[in-house]
Amino acid sequence: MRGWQEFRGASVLSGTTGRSALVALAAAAALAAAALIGAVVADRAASDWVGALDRQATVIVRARVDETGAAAAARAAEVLAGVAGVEETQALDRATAEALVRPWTGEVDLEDVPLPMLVTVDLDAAAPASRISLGRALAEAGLDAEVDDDAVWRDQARRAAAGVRIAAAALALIALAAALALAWAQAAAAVGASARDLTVLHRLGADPGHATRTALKAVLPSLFAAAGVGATVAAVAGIAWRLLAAGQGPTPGWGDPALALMIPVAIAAVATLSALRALRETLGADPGHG
Amino acid sequence: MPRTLRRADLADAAPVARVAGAAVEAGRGTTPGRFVGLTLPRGSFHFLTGGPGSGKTTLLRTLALARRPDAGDVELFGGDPWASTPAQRARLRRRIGVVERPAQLIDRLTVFQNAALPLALAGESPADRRADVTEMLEWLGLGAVADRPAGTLDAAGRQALAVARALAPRPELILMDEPLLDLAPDLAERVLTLLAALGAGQAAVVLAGRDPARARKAGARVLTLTRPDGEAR
Repeated sequence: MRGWQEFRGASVLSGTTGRSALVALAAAAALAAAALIGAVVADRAASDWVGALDRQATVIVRARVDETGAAAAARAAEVLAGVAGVEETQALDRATAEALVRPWTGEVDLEDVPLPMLVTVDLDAAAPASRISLGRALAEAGLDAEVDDDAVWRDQARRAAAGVRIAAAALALIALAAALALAWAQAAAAVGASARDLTVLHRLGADPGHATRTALKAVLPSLFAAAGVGATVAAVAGIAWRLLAAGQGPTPGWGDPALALMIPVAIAAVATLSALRALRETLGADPGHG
Repeated sequence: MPRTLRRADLADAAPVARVAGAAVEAGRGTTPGRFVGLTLPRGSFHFLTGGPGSGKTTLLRTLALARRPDAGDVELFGGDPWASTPAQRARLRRRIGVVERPAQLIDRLTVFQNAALPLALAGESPADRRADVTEMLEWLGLGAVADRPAGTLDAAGRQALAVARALAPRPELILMDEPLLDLAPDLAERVLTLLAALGAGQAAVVLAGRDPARARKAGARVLTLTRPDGEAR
């Protein structure tokens, strides 16, 4: 068509993807992108929960008759800080201990109630100290204490975290599959709608590459644009989530909304494959194909 | 003095098209047609006739590379088109001007764009060929509607446009399936005269139709395809 100003700006094939189909694809792309961002956030949150449990233990210290609870807790914290695999220890004061049990006791006056003294232990994430080594160190220091490393909860938390991860990933995959299936069907339908014109081009001697380029040019831009709009909406929603819910629970990282850009790329790739297949079928149905 | 033959000389000497024992399915439920010994040299004008299902359209489509023969040989411009690559076959198609029935146009393009499409696809320079297209459209009575979408034309206009598109690139092989049927009588006569003139020149012209007497009068050699074996006589 080079030099023929009569063809300038004219697409030989009609862009045959209807507006409602493009809106549906944009919505599907938005859902897929949002589900992908959500899956990443859920995975990170689940890792954080399990990691926090793995890295923390609580020690309940019972004071001897010749020392106060606070002194026993302080001594326990000091002993534990010297154990390999411990990063930091903190003896909780009376007020913190009261605050911990307050949900179960309500407004009862706790001043005269003997509360266990607690020491929180932050463990080394790479090589955490075991419950046994913590207990041994406390016993050697002559402390009457009990180590709770959340082992009972940890397995359940792990299973719950795995469940969250799988559910989020499955949701993202289903949303992505739906968007890709829609793109596949729309690209095939668009090429099918141009089948007659493509056959005319073919029989007039259009190069195979020219027919392919013409078909892709008629089909892909609108599908890619629709998917791009949908993914952008999801990315903006991800940024808004980050801004509005910061510090109130799991939120996307600043880079996570960029994952939404993968969706239009994936949709364009699938639409290309579908259009090429439909083109081959269209021209293949013409017995003179090739 | 010995004469050195060049490749171009050999190509020019070869018939434009040759069909040898090619068998093609004329359509679902019909007997396969057999076309024996049909040779189309340069400067020839043939008129194909025969009853419905005799294989006229199928033979034209086979020659136009719109379908592959089921058996036998088809030779175009001195070679086997089906032994070529798709890109080479595309180049061969650009040397053929075809009018199918009904006219196959791209309705959303203008009349001019449709007529110029083969030239544009072939990469011909618009400076050289734009005037040819315009002249052809005017000659066929389409000058006034050159900027209108082809989809707005009536049957006669579509048929005339298909003729213009087929002839504008000055093809070496012209294949037309009942091109005169929808045209006004005077225009049909002019088109037939033009085709006869082209057939007397360097092109090979094959028309399919139902009025052999008119074609014979215009100087065409009439071939009749008969069922059930569809042999050309």
